[in-house]
Amino acid sequence: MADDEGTDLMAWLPRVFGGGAAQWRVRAASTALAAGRGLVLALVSLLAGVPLVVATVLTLGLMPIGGGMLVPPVIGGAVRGLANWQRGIARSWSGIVIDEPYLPRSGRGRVRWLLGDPGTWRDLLWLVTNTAVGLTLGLLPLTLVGWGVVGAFAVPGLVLSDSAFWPFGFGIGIVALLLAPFAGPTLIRAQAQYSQLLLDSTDVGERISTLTVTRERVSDDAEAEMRRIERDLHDGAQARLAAVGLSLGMAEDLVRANPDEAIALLAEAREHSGAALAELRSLVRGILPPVLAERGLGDALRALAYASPIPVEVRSDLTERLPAPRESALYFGIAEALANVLKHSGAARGRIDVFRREDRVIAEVWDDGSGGADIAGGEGLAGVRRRLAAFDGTLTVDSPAGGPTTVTLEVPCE
Amino acid sequence: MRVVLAEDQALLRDGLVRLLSAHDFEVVAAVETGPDLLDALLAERPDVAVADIRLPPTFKNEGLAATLEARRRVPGLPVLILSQHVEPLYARELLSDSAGAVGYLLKDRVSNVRSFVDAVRTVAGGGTTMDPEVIAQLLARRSRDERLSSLTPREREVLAAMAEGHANAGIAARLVVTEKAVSKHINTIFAKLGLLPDLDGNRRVLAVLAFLDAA
Repeated sequence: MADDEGTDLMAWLPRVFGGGAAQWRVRAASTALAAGRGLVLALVSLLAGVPLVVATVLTLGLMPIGGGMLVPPVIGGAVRGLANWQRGIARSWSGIVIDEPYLPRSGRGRVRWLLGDPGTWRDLLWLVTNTAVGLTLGLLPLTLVGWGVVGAFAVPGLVLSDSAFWPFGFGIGIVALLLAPFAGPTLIRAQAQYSQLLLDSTDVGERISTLTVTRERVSDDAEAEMRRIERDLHDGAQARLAAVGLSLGMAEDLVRANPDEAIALLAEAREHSGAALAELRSLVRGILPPVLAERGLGDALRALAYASPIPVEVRSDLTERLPAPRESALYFGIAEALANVLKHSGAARGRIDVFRREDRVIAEVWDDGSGGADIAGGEGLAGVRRRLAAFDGTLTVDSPAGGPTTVTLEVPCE
Repeated sequence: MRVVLAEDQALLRDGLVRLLSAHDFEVVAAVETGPDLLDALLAERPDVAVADIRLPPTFKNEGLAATLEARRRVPGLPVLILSQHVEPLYARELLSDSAGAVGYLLKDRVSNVRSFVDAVRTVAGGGTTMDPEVIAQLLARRSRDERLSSLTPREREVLAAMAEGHANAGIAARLVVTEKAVSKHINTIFAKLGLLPDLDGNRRVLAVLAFLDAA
């Protein structure tokens, strides 16, 4: 019976207001979606926002009397987490990109780092106002639907009870129902725009601080890398080549007096030279894998996938070679993410997607493993994030417990 | 036996010419660049080509590209590729025409003169020789091919040795079994991989390809 009514409504709407039945179905779906999303927004604003506001006020109040050495990082982290959740939904629901304008953590303590970052204070302003804004804008789409349904479908009841209000109720219901498909998404978008206004960075000074810190880190990382290479060469290939020279010299001495011994020494020299080459090979692979230098990102990733113990599908629609530093930053980032998949996730399958979206190159590393991956969990991904930050690139991890996991790397490439 | 050699580093090129000449090979051309290699291969039609994978002008994989192009025009032209690094992906490309007569070795292997010369002869004779490091990298991954995972560990060892280019006698010596046992293993491998007897000589190549291809 209910089914029949639904079908009737879908046939009836186009007759009265024009448009096809399919179009009205799409509108109904987007109305429902907006109402659902609005409800999520409202609930989060209320249930997560209000306790956080209270906790923040309490923490700030307790700080002067020494109560806040442990608590601020936890609360600060939670506020930042909520703000980042907002960034995520603004992007996926409304396509609005809100930067994460936080200062990278340098040597300072956690508390000083959090309190010294204007981003923290912007988050707090957003948090306080959003309890009202998020709640209101979030509930409106559902309210419109509610009015519509009650207004339009309660009419028979009102007529029967002889109420004079029925044309009024009917009118509001129809207007609300017609408005809902358009107003719903707009309201969700408005909330995202409001968040962007408060959460995004506009301050040039802040941008400079961020750049200074990321630049220092990149140069620190490069310095550490040079030292590692120097040490590897010194302990590895150089030592081996010295041993080759020694064996050859001894063989030269002995060749007439004791040819058998000389032959044994020559074989030893050959072994040492082989070992030196093997060490140089692995060193070179760590600096710039030959297949990346020769074939570019797509084939380098295919080679990576080809040697992987689990099947990994590689899809790349890049036709051009990327600028070399970005190409290798992306390659090593993806390789690190894939190594994590193999080490920790227990995945049976993986996929690497590389594609261009306007002026950004995006790489997604997906696996069907157990999830629960976290950037904070290992030095590896944090290092990748630092390396990408040098190009204003980003790394995000989406890894709910139980999986699947997607690690997304983005790098601007004109 | 006539050889075309491509190597851009003079030291190594001269060394290889000396080494090959000392073992009854006639080096009919020793070139430095990818385009020269292709020209020499088409003009000389050698019994075997020995080529560095990375050559001028761009120092990418001209050596591989030139030899693959030559094999497109002269099917089955024997080619042995040398490289500072081995990459299973390239091994796969070399083998993809299933014609055999290909080899892919680390440059280090040159220092073991006897086995290097054997490898050149194997390739010239239509055989396949893959560097043990390619095989090791492929063995490291879990087998994804049902046909391949039906092989016993011993059969996998035999297949890996076959991929390195060993003849039955060599495989028998390495695994310390009789040649008869080896040929029995090889027949079981062919059967499990679905390689029928009428494919004959190519079955060894196809088995190696299945091994490389277990993706």
